[in-house]
Amino acid sequence: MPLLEIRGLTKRFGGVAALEEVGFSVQPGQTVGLIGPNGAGKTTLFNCLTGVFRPNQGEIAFGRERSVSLVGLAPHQIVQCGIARTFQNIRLFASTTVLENVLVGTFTRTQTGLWQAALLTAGARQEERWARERARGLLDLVGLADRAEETAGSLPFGLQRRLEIARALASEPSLLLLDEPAAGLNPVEKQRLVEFIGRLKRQGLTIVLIEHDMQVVMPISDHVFVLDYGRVIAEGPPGAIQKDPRVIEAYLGRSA
Amino acid sequence: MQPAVLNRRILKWSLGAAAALLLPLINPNPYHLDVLTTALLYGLLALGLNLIVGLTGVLHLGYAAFFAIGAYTYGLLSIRLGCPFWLGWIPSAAVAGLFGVALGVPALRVRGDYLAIVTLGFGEIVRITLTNLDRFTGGPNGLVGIAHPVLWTPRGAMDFGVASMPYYYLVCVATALAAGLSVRLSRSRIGRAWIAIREDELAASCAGVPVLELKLAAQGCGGAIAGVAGAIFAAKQGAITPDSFDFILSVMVLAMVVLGGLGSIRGAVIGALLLGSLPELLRGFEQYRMLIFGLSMIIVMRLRPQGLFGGFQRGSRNAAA
Amino acid sequence: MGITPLQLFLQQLTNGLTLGSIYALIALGYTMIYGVIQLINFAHGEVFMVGAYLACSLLIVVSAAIPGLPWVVTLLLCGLGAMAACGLLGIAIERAAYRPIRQAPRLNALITAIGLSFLLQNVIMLIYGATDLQVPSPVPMVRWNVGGITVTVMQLVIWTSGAGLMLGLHVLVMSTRLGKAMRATAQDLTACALLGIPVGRIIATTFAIGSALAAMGGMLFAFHYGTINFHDGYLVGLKAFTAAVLGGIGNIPGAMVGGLVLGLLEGLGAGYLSAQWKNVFAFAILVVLLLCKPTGLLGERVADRA
Repeated sequence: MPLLEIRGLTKRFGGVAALEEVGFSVQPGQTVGLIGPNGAGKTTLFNCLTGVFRPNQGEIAFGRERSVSLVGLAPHQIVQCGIARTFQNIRLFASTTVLENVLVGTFTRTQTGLWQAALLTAGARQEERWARERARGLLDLVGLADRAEETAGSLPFGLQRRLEIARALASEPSLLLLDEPAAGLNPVEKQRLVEFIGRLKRQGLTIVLIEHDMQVVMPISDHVFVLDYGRVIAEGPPGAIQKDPRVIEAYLGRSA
Repeated sequence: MQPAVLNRRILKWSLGAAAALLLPLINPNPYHLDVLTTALLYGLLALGLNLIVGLTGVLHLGYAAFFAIGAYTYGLLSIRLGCPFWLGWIPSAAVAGLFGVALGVPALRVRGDYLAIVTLGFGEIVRITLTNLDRFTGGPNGLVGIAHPVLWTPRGAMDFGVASMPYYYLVCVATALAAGLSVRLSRSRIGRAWIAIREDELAASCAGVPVLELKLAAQGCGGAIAGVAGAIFAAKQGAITPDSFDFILSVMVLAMVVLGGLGSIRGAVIGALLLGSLPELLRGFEQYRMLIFGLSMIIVMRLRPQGLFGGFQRGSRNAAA
Repeated sequence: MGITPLQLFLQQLTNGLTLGSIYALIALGYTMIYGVIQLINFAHGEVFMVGAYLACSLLIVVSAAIPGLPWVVTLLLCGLGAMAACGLLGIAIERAAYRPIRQAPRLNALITAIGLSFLLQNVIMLIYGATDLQVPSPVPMVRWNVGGITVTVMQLVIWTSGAGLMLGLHVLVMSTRLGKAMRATAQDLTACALLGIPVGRIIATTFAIGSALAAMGGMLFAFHYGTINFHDGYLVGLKAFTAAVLGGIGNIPGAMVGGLVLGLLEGLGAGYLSAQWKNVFAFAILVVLLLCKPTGLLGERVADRA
């Protein structure tokens, strides 16, 4: 059973259809690439998936054993279900520390409320210890452990991207959505990103990846969907997609 | 935290607390104490507003309304039911907090700039309503005959009356507790979520933070603190009128939080001490009050937007679409 | 013979239209400024108030310097003087307070705006005093009875100048190069800057025009009601802001419509509601409007955000 199943997803802004009858499914443990020319609707799809936009039509079903409809849920509720994301233009909490950024990501997996926090109960203290441990573990994973107390806004670009991924992982997602994670990285950083995603994949995480750089997408994707003008124009294994004439035309035709 | 740092911090706080406690004994001048008490009361208000504006980033221009609600709640309980201050401050806090949430609910779907105006509108509506409900609230003449706090000591009942010293200690304790609470909250899961909302509401939401609920929680807490301040104010004055709770007061408290640095707890208190003692120090310059507050806000925003103790300020970010 | 309900209604309507014209003039400033830089210029109400006080001072100066001048000329001189001065004030405000913090978070700009509003109120209070200023009007106190409704010369003056200025603005925005540049800048500031349009100057011009219109509103207000107070800017400013939102923020015809509608509502309300609750009514309209229909009657025109 697919982990994520999208059917007939349509999203219009005024008269323009950003997404038109999009169908899309992701099997558990898969890494799916989502490609297409600029303006094809890829980020809009992510925004619909994470509750930022409400689709005009269509269904989004998510879940391992039981599937839940995500349409109409608020973003934080969708995180609760197990989906986390990063953003095309990095959105960190710039004036707080690296560690605190990741700690925010643990919100849905912790419960300390206003009263417990005010009274600093034993439960609150214990949960705080757990959260910090988890956050440090994630910082270790992305290689930022020695920068935990630095201000997030002062990190160099490549490290900011890693921090954003760590924050996303903090909510223990079963599905991770990465929006152009390789944008702005140099070739060495890109290679490390590919390896990193590979490691996440081996840990069983399901990943959907929007990317323009074919060197990043193709090696790690099990399956690729191609979007153009809001519609899925092709899907299949990476090798087939790279040779698909419709895909080539969409990119070449639009590159003017 | 390393033991050395912790010890230094404890030492600093102990010295500060000792100084605060011994001050009236060293300098028993009632006028000075009064000025300090007023400034500290502003500090209490600033701490409350800091939770809303400083930590969570919700620009609230109607904070005086919660101060008023707290004052009137205790005032009415005292006059109508003879409720003593030591009990009466609790419903003051609760009612003000509830109003904070209630007025926040409709407003939270509104975007940033408009939200500020809505809070302004609510603040004015509360004030004018208090002025107009003659039978209930005493109208423009307000309430008189509110009971001062009475302390039961081994030597019998001690009514605070109009003495300066007891109110100084009362406000010191209240402000210290509010500061401690703010520190605890800001370091907790809730506080981190509030700050995340301030930094980037969309990213916070997509990281799992229930933005609407937490904004309401901030307004509830901030409102409750203002409620306590209101009860203390009413108990000290013995009489209150709606004029004391106008838009100018809301802006003054905002100026204090801004000067101290949005989100900074010691900043809120120090900003309040600086700007709050000014009206008294500049006796005879009372007419320059608004000028000073206005100018201070403009200058701070221009030259040092993070205020005295605030954090790193980054560039413009349209957080909420 | 008493006044019939219909006559009462029409009288309130007339009064409301008068007030509405003034609101419209001020609302235009709010809407144009929000249109270009997405900022609620909190200090705009104070510009209205400054315009009112300046017009009064000019009246005294002009009457003393050139006695025996026809009232229309006096009015024109005061009006143009106030408009010019406030136009400059608007430019100064933009340059000194808002421009330097253009890149900062919006919270900062709003706080600056509020600070500015306080500053201006206090400055006027220091110069002119805290009590109401009695304003002598150059306009003759002639009134006509039209079917039971009283219409004064002052009201006619307000209607004609209001209509004239609004028409003038409409022509400016729709038919001139400047107007086109203003509309383009309101649509997409970054694109305009990249295309070489001097957006800095456009923004300054927008502030100047908006402030000048508010100043005219101030003068008309002062001469019509006969008294002004340094605190009037706050109240009238908020009402005019309500009018701007009512018509759709950023929408220039909207501000005109919103002003008239709000004036009518207040005129009718004043006739049938007690004075005490009048301001609550105004604030309630503002709050309900922002909560329920923030895009206004004619729809807002705000810049596209990426």
